[in-house]
Amino acid sequence: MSQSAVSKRYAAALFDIALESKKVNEIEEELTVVKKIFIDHKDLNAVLSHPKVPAEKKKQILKDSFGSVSTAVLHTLYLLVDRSRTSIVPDLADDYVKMANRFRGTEDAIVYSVKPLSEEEISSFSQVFAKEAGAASLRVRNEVNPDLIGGVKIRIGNRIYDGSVRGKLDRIERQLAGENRKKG
Amino acid sequence: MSIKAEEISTLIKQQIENYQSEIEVHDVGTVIQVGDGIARVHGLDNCMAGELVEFSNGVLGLAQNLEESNVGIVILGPYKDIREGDEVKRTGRIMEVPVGEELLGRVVNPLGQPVDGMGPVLTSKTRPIESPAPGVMDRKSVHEPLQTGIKPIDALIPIGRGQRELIIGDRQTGKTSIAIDTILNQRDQDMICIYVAIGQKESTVRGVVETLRKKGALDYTIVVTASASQPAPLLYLAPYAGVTMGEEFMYNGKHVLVVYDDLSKQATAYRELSLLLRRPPGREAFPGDVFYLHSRLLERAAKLSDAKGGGSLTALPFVETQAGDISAYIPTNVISITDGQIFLQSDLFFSGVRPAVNPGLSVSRVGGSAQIKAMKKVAGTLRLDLASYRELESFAQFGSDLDKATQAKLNRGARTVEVLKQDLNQPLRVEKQVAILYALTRGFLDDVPVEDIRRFEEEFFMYLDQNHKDLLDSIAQTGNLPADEDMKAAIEGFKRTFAPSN
Repeated sequence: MSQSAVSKRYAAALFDIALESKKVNEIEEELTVVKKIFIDHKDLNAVLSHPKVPAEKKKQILKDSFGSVSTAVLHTLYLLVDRSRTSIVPDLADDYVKMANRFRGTEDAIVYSVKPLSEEEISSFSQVFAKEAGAASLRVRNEVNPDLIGGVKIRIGNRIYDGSVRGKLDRIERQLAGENRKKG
Repeated sequence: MSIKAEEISTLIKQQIENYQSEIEVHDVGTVIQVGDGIARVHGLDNCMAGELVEFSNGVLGLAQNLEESNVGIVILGPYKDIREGDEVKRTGRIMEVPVGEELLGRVVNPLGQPVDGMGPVLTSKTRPIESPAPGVMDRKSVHEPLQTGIKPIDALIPIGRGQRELIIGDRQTGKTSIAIDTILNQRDQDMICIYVAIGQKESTVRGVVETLRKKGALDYTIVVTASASQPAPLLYLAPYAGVTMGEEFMYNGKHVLVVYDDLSKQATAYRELSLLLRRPPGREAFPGDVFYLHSRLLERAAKLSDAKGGGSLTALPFVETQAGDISAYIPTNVISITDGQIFLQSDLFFSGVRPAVNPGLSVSRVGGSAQIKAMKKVAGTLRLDLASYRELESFAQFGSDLDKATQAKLNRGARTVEVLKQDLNQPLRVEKQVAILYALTRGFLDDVPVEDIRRFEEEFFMYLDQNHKDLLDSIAQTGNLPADEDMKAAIEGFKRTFAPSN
């Protein structure tokens, strides 16, 4: 979910480098980890955006914590420090994943269900909905949400396929309330 | 309001029957910012401009700004319980309002929901609120008169059915009264009236509704109200909702009058909305498309060709000026869009000339061809008479020795001004207007004292009703002036019975 146009530009540049060096998947994984750390540790960004901490020190912190990532990602982070844009890191990762997906013809999907799904169930979902989403294959993530009561809800990008009991009950409620509202 | 148990049962029955079959598919977005009736939403891929979206609490919104990473949405309803992170659904529909005869006599908000507490409006049809105006070949030139029942307007600034006539003036100059009188006068004219109140006090709207109800005019009137307490989006939408309800009748061959009271408030609401959506401000901080805002609304007024049923939609937009300044942004815009304007002046109003129409600055560009022949004949010289009277009046204040011709002109002018005065909520039928204007322009009033003119008029109409109904009927039916000697006989006959007050 990118909210800034800036992150798209950086992501596009990084993606081009990844394409040239044929490391699209590795960089994607690394970025996902970096994003997770940035989101889990809010303090990190506070330090990185603090004006009193010199840039050299910030880069040292990054190098120490993300020493194992590829140079492309590390250099991107350095660049963001120099430009005071470290806050876009999570967005950048999202945009990169989107680009990588488009490149591979895949799509990310989240399947919400009441209890964890088995491997076969997940793969059958991905087969059925890949066609629906216009992608070659789906990378399915399963999330458990007991609020659904029954059935499943699938989210692909910004589209939701709602086949859950909760959704149906909500619709019935909406319809009954709507009829009532129409009457004044 | 409660709903009947069987109705719930049938609904639930349908739901249960279809339970297995449906998987709902929808495009969603997430609210990233909300405030002042505007929400910015991320996601909502493929959202259309002007599309309705639904927030998770059931409130609807209107997609306005489609930007690279978000969509600016105008919230149509209470926005206090919308939070950041809420889900927003596309509906795939564009905004519509209910239309049809069922709305007559009702007071509704811009979404078409009743606000008069008289139960549901059982309409079966809806129309999109933004629709293209009739094209060139669908139209016909304006040729039927719209009788406002107000002497200075019907005589000097005639309005035709399908015309757009601007009513402009400062606050408290009687703009709304003109609209109400016009609506009252449509009682037996086979017209449907729509009064759109934009940004007015609820008490004022209530007053208007009560006047209409008392005079029996509510039966053919729809009142659309977006009062001052409503959020800006509703004020912005109100005129479009009104014209949409009118269009339904027009395309069914009926004649419709739509009054927008007033468009300057709509422009202000639109400015508020546009600034919150971060559109660049232009002159007077209005957005760049404020001209288009009004032109696309007023262009929907039309006289349809016979092939399209010959219906018409007349628009009476109102614009409030500040201290008589008609060269401000919104007034000049609307003046250039409309087919003429009626300018109401506060000095005239306070000097007792009511309605305070300034005949010098008012003009009707197409209505002349819609005037009935009799009116054209008697009112032909009226505008010139008045103009030369105003000119002489200021000049004559200095000198006392005036020649006969000047004296006569001043005399006639003073009587003309007197005749054109009219009381509130008493629209006058066109044949009576013709009769009194005939007496005036042919010089029969020159020997009646100025202070007796209004009493003369009143008693003259009573006399005509009792003794010369045939004359009035013939004007009303044929539209032509009766023979001069008949008119003369009638007027002289009355003058013999009329006693001047001193």
